[in-house]
Amino acid sequence: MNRIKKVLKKAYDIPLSKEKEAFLQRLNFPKSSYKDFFIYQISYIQKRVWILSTALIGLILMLLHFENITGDALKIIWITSSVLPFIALVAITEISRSMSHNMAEIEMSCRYNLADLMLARISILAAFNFILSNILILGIQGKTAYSPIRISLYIFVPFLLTCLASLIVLNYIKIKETTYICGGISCFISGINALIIGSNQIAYTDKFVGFWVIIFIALMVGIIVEIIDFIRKLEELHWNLQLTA
Amino acid sequence: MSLDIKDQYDKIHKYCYFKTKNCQLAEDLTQETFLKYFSQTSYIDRGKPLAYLYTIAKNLCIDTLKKPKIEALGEDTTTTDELTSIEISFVVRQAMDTLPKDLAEIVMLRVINELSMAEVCSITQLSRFVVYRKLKAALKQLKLILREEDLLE
Repeated sequence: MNRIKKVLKKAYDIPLSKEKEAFLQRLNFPKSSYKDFFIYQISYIQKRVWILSTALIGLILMLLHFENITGDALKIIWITSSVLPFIALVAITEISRSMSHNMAEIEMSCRYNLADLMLARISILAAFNFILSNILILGIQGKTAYSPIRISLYIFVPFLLTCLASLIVLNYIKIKETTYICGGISCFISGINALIIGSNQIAYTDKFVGFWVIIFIALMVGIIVEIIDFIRKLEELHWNLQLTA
Repeated sequence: MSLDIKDQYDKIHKYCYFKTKNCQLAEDLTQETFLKYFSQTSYIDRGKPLAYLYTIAKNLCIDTLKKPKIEALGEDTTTTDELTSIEISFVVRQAMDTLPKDLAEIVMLRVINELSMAEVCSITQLSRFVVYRKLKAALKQLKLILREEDLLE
């Protein structure tokens, strides 16, 4: 059957059109908007990112459901905040993949540059993680005496710390194996977090809430600064690639 | 618009050539198809762009074939190798002409233009099962004809 398909294709292999290029250049067709470009980027993010992140959130919710730990706030925080750094890792691996492959070919064929492209992907992943974390908070709500905001503080500090540390690695270490370093960071933060909850329960009392808020804000600021730096360095990278091409 | 225009241009060109059997006329019709396609953009954003593009091309070909035919001039001389290849292509195209129009169109879209099953269904407005059945029948028929002509083992 393949032979017949080949013969058929060849029979209709008409010579390349001479007028094609000139016609297409003259053709006034609607260019895709930034919104189209942004939505289109969703399809370029690997399926495993969506599946793994959702599976990790599902795992946390399942653990919370089957462990029957209603009321044990520290155990809830321990489970969720230890798993969340791995969700950050999934997102970071996707960003580092896009960066390490440079994706110069997309930039050549696309109206938007690599920095725009990365920003779009970071925003999509951040939005997705934001939705997942809201689902998680909804799942936890009512199981502890803590307010949702306080729970969010305890849960997201390790998550944000993983994001910040990984972004610093991506910004300052220019090797292909950054994913493994980020993986190590996630495991380290998850482990340290589990140890702190086990040994230093005083950190979760009312007295230290202000301290957690400060750390949270500091991490958020740090992440924004690192993302800006990350995007700026991508522009430099392209400039260097142009010089060496 | 999510279609790759350069790629679609070649495919529509082949499709028009399949319909008109005239390379220059096919090129003109391809360009006219794209001009018509982009002349009103309201449908492109929400409809089935590929099916719409092929429908325009099909209608333009039908309209053109209704008009009195103009004989095309011979283009250039050919070498012996090219002649053999042209002969084979001619026989294959003749075999395609013996097929019923609907079967030939499905072969054109699915095999020659390499559209997905879903896209073929959308253009022909047939179910996946019918398209699959017709394609199988068409290829079987073509295989028999080409075997008779010693083009296939």
